[in-house]
Amino acid sequence: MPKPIVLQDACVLLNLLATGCFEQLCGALDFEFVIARAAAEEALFLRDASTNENVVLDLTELVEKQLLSIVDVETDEERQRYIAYATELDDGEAMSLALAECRHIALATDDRKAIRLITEQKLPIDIWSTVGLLQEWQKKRSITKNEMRQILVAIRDRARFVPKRPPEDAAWWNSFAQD
Amino acid sequence: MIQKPLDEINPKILGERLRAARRMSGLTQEQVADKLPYSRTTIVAIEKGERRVTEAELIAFAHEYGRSVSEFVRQREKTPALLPQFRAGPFSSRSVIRADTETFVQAAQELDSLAADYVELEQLCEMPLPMNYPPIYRVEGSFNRPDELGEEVAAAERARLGLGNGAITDLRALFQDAVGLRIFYYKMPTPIAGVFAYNDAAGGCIGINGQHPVPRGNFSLAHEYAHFLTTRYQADVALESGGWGRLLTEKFADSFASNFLMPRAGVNPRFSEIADTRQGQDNIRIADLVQLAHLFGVSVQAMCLRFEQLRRVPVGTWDQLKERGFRPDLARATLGLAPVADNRDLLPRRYLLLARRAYEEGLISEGQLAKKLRQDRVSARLTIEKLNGLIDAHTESGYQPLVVDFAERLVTA
Repeated sequence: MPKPIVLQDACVLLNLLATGCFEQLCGALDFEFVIARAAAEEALFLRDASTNENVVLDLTELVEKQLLSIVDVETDEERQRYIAYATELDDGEAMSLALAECRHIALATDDRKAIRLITEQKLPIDIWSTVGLLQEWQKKRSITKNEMRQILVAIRDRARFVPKRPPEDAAWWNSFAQD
Repeated sequence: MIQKPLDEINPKILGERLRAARRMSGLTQEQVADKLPYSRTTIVAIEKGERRVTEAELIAFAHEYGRSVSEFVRQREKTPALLPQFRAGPFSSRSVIRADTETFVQAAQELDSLAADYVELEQLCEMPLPMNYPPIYRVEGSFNRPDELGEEVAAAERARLGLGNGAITDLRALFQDAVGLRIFYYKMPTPIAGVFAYNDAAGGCIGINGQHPVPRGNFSLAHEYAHFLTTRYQADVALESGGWGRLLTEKFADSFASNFLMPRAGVNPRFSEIADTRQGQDNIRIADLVQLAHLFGVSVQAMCLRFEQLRRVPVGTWDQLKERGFRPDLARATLGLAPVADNRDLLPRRYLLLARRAYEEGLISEGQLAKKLRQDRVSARLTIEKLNGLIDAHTESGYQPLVVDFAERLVTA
């Protein structure tokens, strides 16, 4: 049976790559991860926590290892939805939304505006957040609290991401920081 | 949300955007026709707005020109549209600056783009920029006496802003907060010191070469402000000294900058004070000049030339200092002067706060935020984090009102 596909928006991809455990995460989760061409073409960086310098991300290796595939709009409907969303969002986000909608695949995004659009337009798209994917990973593998704390610290330091909303995601995240 | 934007966008507007993007990428219609599976006649028709572009064509054009699709289908027309003024003025056929000189056009385009983003953020947050603009100073016919005119307008503007004759500690903050100008510092090619444009929708917009030292940038900023005060509807590209030859309006703007930053009634008494304390010894020294320049936030060269103009030092003093290999940076270091506060951030603080608000409220996406901040996503996140830190620092502790008993005696009996 084919694995369910999850399309990662650039914001989630950055967070997951910041963990330094992307390969293990992909191995544990029963998902086929894809990313929209427009999101992959953005100049993506993570911070080197020791030097605070930006380090450019090259997705080639991930693609070669089949951990991630790059997908593009192909049909007239996909192109039309892409352009419609591009009136409201940046290209990467717009193409991600169009592909998720037209191909009926889940979208991993933390972007408030993108999520608001999905809700307002009542789009039948399942949404995963960074925290949701980490929780799923935790469920599939016995990751200790200390290991997860280190992963969250890596995301915070390298991707400068700490969830503020939804409140349950923020509470889960903070439960690791409060010990 | 528009379901079929290409049916709703005026094909002429979309065609113009495509033509502009193609030209910016340095491609001719023939070259595009060679690269993409569309004939030149199709490209011509699309750019003229005679034929609607299809979704597939738009995506292909955007990709070929290295642009975002979102740039072409944005719902808001770019509000400032400052470029036509550059084309009519500094880039016109009569100008010393040629419109085909790509570097000049880029500096103007960047101002246009930054101002457009600023206005868009204000519209999204429903927070228009408060403007405290004076009426245009009517100076027609007076440009043939640029030095006097510069002094007159500078004195009037200082009075309007309640500045007295003292040094201005933060010129950018003054023009942004007290006047309501949009000021950006960014990299420009060496000969350009600053650019200015105005229209009624965007107000006064100024770009300053962010690679120039702070004192030099201040002079350029005051120079562009002179254009805002007098020839507001004419865009300007200020070149490094000498670049404009003998244009009277530029001489006036330089005179204004000199008088605004170093008013006669402000620098003369200080010069006299120093000279008086040195009575019987050698007169004002280089160190005094360096310290005065530091105090007024201008370069040593500008201060020296100002004193030459005021006949306080002999004409040619600066040239002599230069010939002797005088280095202002070394002089400042020798005197232990603290570096001038750097105000050359690309974006005004208000712009950043608006961007933060728009992002936090879900009015713009993270990708849009990064583009508005001219940063990658992670750097944009860091910028927001820092801004949140500043705001949280205030709100966590709460404002502590200072209770003052005005009846209290300050001197006990």
